[in-house]
Amino acid sequence: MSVIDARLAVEAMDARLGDPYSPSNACSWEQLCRNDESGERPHDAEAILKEIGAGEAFVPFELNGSLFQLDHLGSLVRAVFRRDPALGLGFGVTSLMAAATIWTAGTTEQKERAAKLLIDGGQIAVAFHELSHGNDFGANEVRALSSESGFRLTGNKAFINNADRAELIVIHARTSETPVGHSLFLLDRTKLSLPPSDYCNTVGVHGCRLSNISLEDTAVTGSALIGPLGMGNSVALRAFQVTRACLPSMAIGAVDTALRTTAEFAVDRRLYGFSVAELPYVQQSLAGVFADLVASDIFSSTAARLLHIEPNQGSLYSAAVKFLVPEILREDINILADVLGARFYLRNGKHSIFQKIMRDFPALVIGHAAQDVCEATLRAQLPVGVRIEDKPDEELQRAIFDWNVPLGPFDWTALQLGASGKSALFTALYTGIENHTSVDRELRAIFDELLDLSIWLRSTVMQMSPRERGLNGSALSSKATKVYARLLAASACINRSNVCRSGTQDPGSGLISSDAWLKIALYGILGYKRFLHTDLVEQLNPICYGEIYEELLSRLSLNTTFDSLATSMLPIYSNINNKIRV
Amino acid sequence: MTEEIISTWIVETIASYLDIPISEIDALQPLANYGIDSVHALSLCGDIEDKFGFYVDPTLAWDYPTPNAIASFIASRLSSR
Ligand SMILES: Cc1cc2nc3c(=O)[nH]c(=O)nc-3n(C[C@H](O)[C@H](O)[C@H](O)COP(=O)(O)OP(=O)(O)OC[C@H]3O[C@@H](n4cnc5c(N)ncnc54)[C@H](O)[C@@H]3O)c2cc1C
Repeated sequence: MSVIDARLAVEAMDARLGDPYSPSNACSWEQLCRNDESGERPHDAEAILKEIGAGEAFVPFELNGSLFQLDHLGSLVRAVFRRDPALGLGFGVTSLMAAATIWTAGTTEQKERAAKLLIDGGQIAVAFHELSHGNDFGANEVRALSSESGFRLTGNKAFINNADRAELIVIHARTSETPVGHSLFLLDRTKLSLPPSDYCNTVGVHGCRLSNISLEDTAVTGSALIGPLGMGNSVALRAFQVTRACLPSMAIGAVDTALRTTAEFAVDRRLYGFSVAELPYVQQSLAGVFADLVASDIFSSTAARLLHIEPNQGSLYSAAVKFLVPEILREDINILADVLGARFYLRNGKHSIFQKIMRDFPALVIGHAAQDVCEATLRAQLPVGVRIEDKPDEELQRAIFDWNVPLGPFDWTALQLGASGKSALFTALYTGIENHTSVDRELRAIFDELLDLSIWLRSTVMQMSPRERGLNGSALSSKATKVYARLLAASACINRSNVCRSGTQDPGSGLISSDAWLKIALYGILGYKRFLHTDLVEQLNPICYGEIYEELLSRLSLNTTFDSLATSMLPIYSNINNKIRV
Repeated sequence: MTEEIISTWIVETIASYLDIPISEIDALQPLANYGIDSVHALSLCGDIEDKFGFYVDPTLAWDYPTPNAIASFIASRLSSR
């Protein structure tokens, strides 16, 4: 599937979600803010998603869904996150997490049941979290004792999204005291009588309903087991590589809207006789965030493509995306809040979607593998992550970065728990820089910095004692992990820039092929001055911000998105009945 | 490579993860007794691949709980190549 097809799918989705500015539309920002204030689920917006079959996006093609390529899954669901992150989370993302475990290890019967439910617009809850153990789900205590007819489950799960309504529940439970002692089960709530539970009060994502699940000697048949007995953690950690790579890609949509709202404000607001947008710092802030969104899209889409192409390194790429992209996006929201001034704090009026995004965003990040957990996954595997290919396969490199190279359907069984082999993305940092044709002095200086950092990283990793790769790693190993994730992101951007410079007509390629974008994007990825040493790039030439700012204004006036696909938010789409295929 | 050499290498590697003397690890005892966690198991896979040239799943540390058991698994993988 080409980039053009991916864009069409996104625009078809936006056409069906309707005008985001029209207050009478259930999927407009005004209406979704009103829903948020009421503390209710956005029933009308969910009804639209159900009607258009949005759940199909989570179901593999071979199970009658429309999921084909993981990079397109991220960009498609991003459209929902542009409307409202809570809508995306409430309607779908936790269902995707649950479903991922079924696509990875479920039986044909389980897969068909889950597929049908999602296609019909239903939800699957994913019940891992226990109050006493948080991220440490290897310590979870909900028990599944084997019985004559199957298993009997006892214990409590807390803060489970959609626990009150999901027809199916994927639950993580202890099946023995050994280290391989957890298993996954697919519960059919229509066959159980679960006691009602109070909703949890949350600061944001009011459109999501979190509650607890209490099981008391609840009987399930043996056919409820997902994957082999005792392999629950292994199945989950493989399946979640997909959601770790895709969720940040979707979350970009929330910051897209935060940027749009802030830019509209800056252009309209007049102070001291001129518009706020004329202030140089405001232009730089907006341009910087825009460049970050495109870079975050490229990094997460590249990782998603790599899950197809190089699944043996999936554990590294997915953790790197989940580790880095939310951090960049969170900083971006804070930068925008500064520009928005008092309005970032107001819960009514034209810009109120901003404060909602600001409250909702952290939930997207905490919910699924904390940043520290992803850091631990990366740190433990740094020696594997920095292995480079002596002779990189050109064909393979092209398939990673040229988004018009179609990928086969995603193979859920190819993912492995730990990374192995050599890293195509890390290797591509070197080939990408070598092949880049720009002679821009600042850009070449940043490239030199990246190469220096990679040399520092490789020698640090070689010298690091194995103990430092453990949970209580040192500050040095933590820095090495941060540098590693950032170099992977830089590699993705540089190589995507190369593809766009080679004359592809992909949308957004004008921006991505420019020196200005790549400089600002790399500068942002490197955490501004935090990871840069030289004075050369201390202050990037303001002209390059001006160039990006012009593109931002153009997208603002055309109502196109601030990611690499640059799709229309107000598409005129006649073929509304076509099936969306991702 | 003999099982014994492999087992010694495993003991050395695990001791370095935990920063304890080699003499404290008994090659016949389950690694879980020494506080090996899932993060160490991930590290171990990478180190085994570096040393022996093939990928093993991190669940190896649970499927073959002692250094000797891991060593005999690795030795049989090596001899079947
Ligand atoms: C909006 C929302 C929706 C949710 N929906 C669901 C759902 O549908 N299903 C579900 O199962 N759960 C759900 N949860 C719960 C979620 O799974 C937990 O919040 C998550 O597991 C983290 O647990 P915790 O918050 O207790 O943090 P803890 O695990 O207690 O973490 C505390 C601190 O320790 C750090 N830490 C933890 N592990 C490591 C490590 N390995 N290395 C370094 N530092 C570490 C963390 O980063 C954090 O700073 C939801 C939560 C929210 C907010």
